[in-house]
Order: sequence, then C-alpha cells, then structure tokens
Amino acid sequence: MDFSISEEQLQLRDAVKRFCDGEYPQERRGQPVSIDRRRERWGMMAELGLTGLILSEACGGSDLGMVEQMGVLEELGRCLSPEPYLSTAVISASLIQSMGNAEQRERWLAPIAAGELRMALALDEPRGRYAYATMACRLTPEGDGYRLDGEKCLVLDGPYADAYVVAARHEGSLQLLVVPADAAGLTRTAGTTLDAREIATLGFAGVLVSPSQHLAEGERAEQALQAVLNRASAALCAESVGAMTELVEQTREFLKVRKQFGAPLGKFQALQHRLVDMVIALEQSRSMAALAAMAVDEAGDRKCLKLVSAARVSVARAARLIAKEAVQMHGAMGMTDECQVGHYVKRLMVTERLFGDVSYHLESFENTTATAA
Amino acid sequence: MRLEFTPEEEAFRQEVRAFVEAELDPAIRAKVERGLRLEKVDYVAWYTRLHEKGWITPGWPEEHGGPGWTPIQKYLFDEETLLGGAPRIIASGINMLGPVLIAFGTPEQKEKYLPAIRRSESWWAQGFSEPGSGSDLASMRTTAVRDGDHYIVNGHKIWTSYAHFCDKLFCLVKTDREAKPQEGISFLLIDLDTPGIEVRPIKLYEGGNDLNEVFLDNVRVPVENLIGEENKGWTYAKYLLGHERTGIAGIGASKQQLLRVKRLLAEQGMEGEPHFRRRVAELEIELLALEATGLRILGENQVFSAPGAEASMLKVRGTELRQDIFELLYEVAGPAAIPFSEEAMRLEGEDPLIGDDERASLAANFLDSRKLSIYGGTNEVQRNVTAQMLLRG
Ligand SMILES: Cc1cc2nc3c(=O)[nH]c(=O)nc-3n(C[C@H](O)[C@H](O)[C@H](O)COP(=O)(O)OP(=O)(O)OC[C@H]3O[C@@H](n4cnc5c(N)ncnc54)[C@H](O)[C@@H]3O)c2cc1C
Repeated sequence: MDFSISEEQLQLRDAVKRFCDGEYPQERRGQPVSIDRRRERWGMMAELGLTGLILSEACGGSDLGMVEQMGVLEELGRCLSPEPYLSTAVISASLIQSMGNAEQRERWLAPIAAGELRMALALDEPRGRYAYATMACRLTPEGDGYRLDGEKCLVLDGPYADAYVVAARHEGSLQLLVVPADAAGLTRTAGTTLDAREIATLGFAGVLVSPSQHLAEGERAEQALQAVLNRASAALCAESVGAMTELVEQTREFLKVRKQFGAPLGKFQALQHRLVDMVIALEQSRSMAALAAMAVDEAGDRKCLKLVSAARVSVARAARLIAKEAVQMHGAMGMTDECQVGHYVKRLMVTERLFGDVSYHLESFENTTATAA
Repeated sequence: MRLEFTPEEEAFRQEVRAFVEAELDPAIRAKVERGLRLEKVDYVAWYTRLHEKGWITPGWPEEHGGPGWTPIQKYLFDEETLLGGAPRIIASGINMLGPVLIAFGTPEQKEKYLPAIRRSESWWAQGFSEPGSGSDLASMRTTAVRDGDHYIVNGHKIWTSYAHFCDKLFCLVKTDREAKPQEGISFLLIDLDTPGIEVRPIKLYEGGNDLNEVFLDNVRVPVENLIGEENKGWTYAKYLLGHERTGIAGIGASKQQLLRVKRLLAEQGMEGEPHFRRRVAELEIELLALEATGLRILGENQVFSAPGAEASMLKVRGTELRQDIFELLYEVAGPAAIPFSEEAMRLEGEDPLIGDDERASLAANFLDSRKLSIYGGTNEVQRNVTAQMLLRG
C-alpha cells in the first residue's frame, strides 16, 4: 500500500483550492446563492477540467480516477460547495461512461465535460430506507420501449438538473435509464436539505422511455448500481474530510483567540485533550477516505464494497465526534446561524445520510466479511 | 429504604396525570411530543391552567402561592407533566427570579412582581451573559451608575432566552468597577420598554430564534428596582443558579423522549431491530441510574463524595443522557433527516417532501439538544466546580 500523492495530483489540488478560495469566501459559506451565479461557477469548474475529470478524452474529459477526484471533493467539502459535482461529475458521469453505448456517451458526457449539463441520480423512494433491492418504481412495456411510473425522493441537486439517471424495475429486473427533466409526465417538487442544499421529489406518471434511454438492465445494472454507490460513498468520505478539516481548524483557532478567566480557552487542559481527540479522528478519516478512493480505482467488487463501507462508518463516527465537540467548544456562539460551525455540522449530518447511513454500511460490511470467510 | 412510592404519593401521581390528560390542549401536546416549535400562546395557555389549579409555582413557599408539596411530590409533578407532553416551564420568573424575590426582595417588590409572574402576565428574561463573559460571568462589563434616584445602565447582554416573549429583564450589572470582579456586581430589575433598550433576535443553526441580544443604552432604572444590597448581586445570582435542584436532571424529559424513540421505531416497523433494541435498553438503564440518584439525594442521611456538588453532577449526567437520547432519535430518522423545512417545524401547511412525517423534526431536535451542555453553566464549568470541591484543602 502506498498513500503517496503524486506531483500532478498535488497540482490539481492546488488549482482547486485556489478556485474554491476565490469562489467560496469564508463568510458566504452556507448562505444561499443565486442560480445564475451557480451556473457561472459550474462553467468555471468545467474550464478547470473538473466536471470531466473521470471522463475519457474522447468526451472531452481527463481520464483520471477516484484518487484524483478525491482531492477535488475534499476541497469542495472544505468550502461547503453546493454545486452538483457529486450528482453530475461523479455519479452520472461514471454510470454513463461505464454503461452507456457510444451514442449515449456522445449525447450526455460531452456536455457534462463542457459544463453545459447537470444531472442527478433518482434512486431513493418514499417507502423503506435505502431499500434499493425492493424499489417500487416500475416499467411496463409500451411500443418498443417502456412507460415509467412511480415516485423518487431525496434526489440531491434534483430541482435544477437537466436530466436524471433513474433506477426502476421491470418484472424484478433492475433497469437504469436516462430521463430528461422535460419529459412528458415527469413532475418535480423542489425542497431543501438540512444544510440548505436542493433536493427534489420526482413523480413519474406514464413517462415514455425509448430504447435509446436505456443504460443497463438485469445483472449488469445491479453491478453498475453497486459500483456507482461505492464511488458515491468514497466521494462522500472525501467531502466529509474536507468539512471536518475546516471544523477542526476553526475550533483550534477559536481556542486560541477566545478568552475566559483571563486566559485563552486553549490553556484549559480539559479542552486541549479533546482537541487532540478531534485531530486523531480527522486523521483517521483522511486515511479511510484515501483507502476508499483507492478501492474504487483498483479493487474488485467485494473488496471495494467492504473498504468503502468501512470508510463510511469510520468517517461518520469521526464526523459526529468532531461536530459535537466543535459546537460545545464554541459555546452558545457555536449554535448560531451566523457562526460557520453550524453550517459544517449540518453538511456532515446530511452527508452521513446520503446513500446509506451507519446501520446500512455496518450491515454491508458485515455481509462482505461473513461471505468472504 | 423502600422500593415503592407510598400510596399517597402514587395517588398524587395519578392526580397529576389525570389533570394533564384533562387540561392540556391536545394540539399543544402534539407539538411537544413531536419536537415542534411552540409559540408564547402555547406556553401561556398551559401555565394558565396550572395557575388556576394552584400548581404553577411548586418551588415557592405556600405564603407566596406555592402548593406546599414535599420534594417527592415536586419530583413526581415534574415527571408526570413532562411525560404527559406538557410544555416545559421556560418562564424565568417562575424558576429563577421568583425564588430570589422571595428570599431577598422587599415587601413592595414581592407585592408588585410575584402575583403577575404566577398569572403569566409578566414574563422575565435573564440578562446575565455578555459577548465577552459566558463561563467567566464575573468578568462582565455592563455598568450601572447612580444618578439621583435612578441607575443609568449601559451595556450589551446576549443569549437572552425568550426576551422577545418578555416584558421584563433581571440583569447583572457592574456597580463598582474598582472592586474584585465578584464584589462589584448588583442585581437589577429592568422594564423592557424603558427607552434605550433594543432587543434583537439571534437566528440559531437549527432555524429557531429563542435567543436574543439586548442592547442597553443609557437606560434609566429606578433605584427601588435593586434587589437586596448594592454590590451583593453575585450572592443572589449564585442563589438563583443553585436553586433549581429537582428539575435539573430532566428525568421526565428523558423519559418522554425515550417513549418517542419507541413510538417512532414501532411506526416504522423497526421495534425488533437488534441494534435499536440494545441502544434503547442501554439508555433506559442509564436513566434508571440517574433517577435513582436524583431520588437518593432527596432521602435522609445520604453520603455523597462531593457534598455541595450534587446539583452539578445531576446536571452533567442528566444533560448528557438527554443528548444521547436525541442523538438516537436522529439515528432513528435515517434518510428522513436529510430534508428540512421551517414549515414542518411549525405544523403549518404540509411540506410535500416531508408530509406529516414526524421524523422531519429529529435532526433539528438533535442540533437543539447541544444547548443542554452549554447553558445553565457549561458541563465543563460544572465539572471544574465539582473537581475543585473534591480536591480542595
Ligand atoms: C440555548 C441557550 C440559552 C441561553 N439562555 C441564556 C439566558 O437566558 N440568559 C443568559 O444570561 N445566558 C443564557 N445563555 C448563555 C449561557 O449561559 C452561556 O452560553 C454559557 O455560560 C457559556 O458561555 P459562552 O457561550 O460564552 O461560552 P464560553 O464561556 O466562551 O466557553 C466556550 C467553551 O469553553 C469551555 N470553557 C470555558 N472555560 C473553561 C474552563 N475554565 N475549563 C474548561 N472549559 C472551559 C466552555 O465550557 C465551552 O465549552 C444561554 C445559552 C444557550 C446556548
């Protein structure tokens, strides 16, 4: 195992860091931004080569891996970026790249790399929690294609997406499809997350799906879904590490400047030791996020699932500790909307619940280790 | 020692339970049980019921309108009202200022303020903390300078709970800037509509706005509004902070939230899930240990390792246990913790993403619960105080 970061990877991180520091000034993080401004930013991210990072050069991408993308995601998490990077440039991009035919790649991927298209994954449903094996969204044959009926919820970045990757079933067989946002029979309801990002509920009422919109079905679709969930989880770990880095940094800084009883809070040993525990948790998370990213790039299905689930559990636990301590050590100030701490805490709380919570990932870890024996 | 409460105590518990059942507005109960935001009218409606029954000030002596209960009765009353979904007593006049007025107020002050507090006509806010003085309260800088028969008050108070519901403020001020910090402080009663006062809301990270800042700019306060003696305010403040003993562990509130955990698990068909069953059992055992300790303190001839620090220990354990329960509730929410809308916290309209799903409030409740280890003396300060008692000499 080698955790070394290459010179090129470092340069990419630096470029992203410069972009983030310019685009997400500290005092604006967590505050609402106009949609026009957001589109502009998305274009800038494309120019930097970020939206097409993992896409093939034929589609205008850079052909890099999860390890490189981890650096980008960490920076975006550190700045609480609300851009649909995970939904579009990680999830949708990788699914269409690995499952799509030449025509589909041409149609969807080039615009992603160019920053002209935003996509989202429509997976969760109102009933059950992360019950991906028993989805109720269904397809019925119609003409040479299908009609799609059902409801999807918690679609991150859903309200402004131009198209969706939708998971549905036909007679028990999983199907992955691309559905444009303006498809007839598709209704979307916009909402907000705890950390003030956008989510949508999507209603499909007899939406017609042509064969050209089919990405994968059956066993191939199951594998592709698991692979993209692993990738999403590795990405969420990287984002969390970025957010945790900033929370630890802000707490460290606060302990140095806030004075009570005539001394900086950092002089009190009760707090010193807990700051150290926060740093230990952060460093382990950084290691686990790297492990997860390497697993996505290199490991076979089962090993990848095992390492990624382990990373999700470990990072979630660390994030909880850091979040609680950061608030506590900031005192009442830490509970205000004005203070940055709360925005980071809420980002971490939402991240923890996307595509599986701790129970879900503990169980999937247990399953991979039990069957491996 | 005796395992059970006496038949009289049990009868009293039943009486309180029946009262809550009959008198608490179901809409208010629903809000409390679902962790939603309450308006002032909700609190006043319940406090008025309690006042009519003579139960609004269990901690006050009988001659001032207290019900004359034993400590066990007060304990049972707290538990039964919270368990039954009644709003907490947030009015600082009842739990904080009332006892101080009774102990140190002049007959005129008692006459003027106590009945209005009991009737919920007058709501008091607590003006202790300042931007630079939280844990180190004695370092505060708000000043009161004598000018004839008035004090002129200047300063900035912060984190003032529910000041927007209040018409009055009890306030710690510096009257002697030369003296040692604790010795130059006085305790003043201030009308919030006096010219020169501005109350500004503070928005909290979970969307609530229970807290405020209070700016005082050349505010003229009559000298008869001084409590006790000038420069003795610290003594009264310590009396006030140490007064609330029975309620401090929040046992009724913990029991209520554990019921909520079980109800939510059952509603989702998850009551049998081994992980959650274990966690509930563990927390119930923790709660039993806390409750036993709270009741043991009320018993006679008890031995405690840190005499005088019992309240600190109950505060630390009680608040941390309650935070663990709120954290479990956030666990129970699963993916439902992702969406959030202020409408869903207020039971107004229906958010299509959340519907009438009670889980919508769980993430916000978890965030809110972090206050428990910050206010009322942070848990670090409570531990420092206890350690000092253990290690002195
Ligand atoms: C919801 C809420 C309601 C409140 N309501 C009121 C109110 O109505 N009226 C009012 O006057 N105030 C109120 N407060 C303020 C509360 O009393 C203060 O927040 C509290 O005293 C802590 O002060 P601080 O926030 O300035 O934190 P600080 O004192 O700055 O402390 C920051 C952190 O450092 C820790 N710390 C400080 N000193 C030490 C030490 N020596 N050793 C170890 N750790 C230390 C603290 O425990 C805390 O974790 C409220 C606060 C909250 C959160």
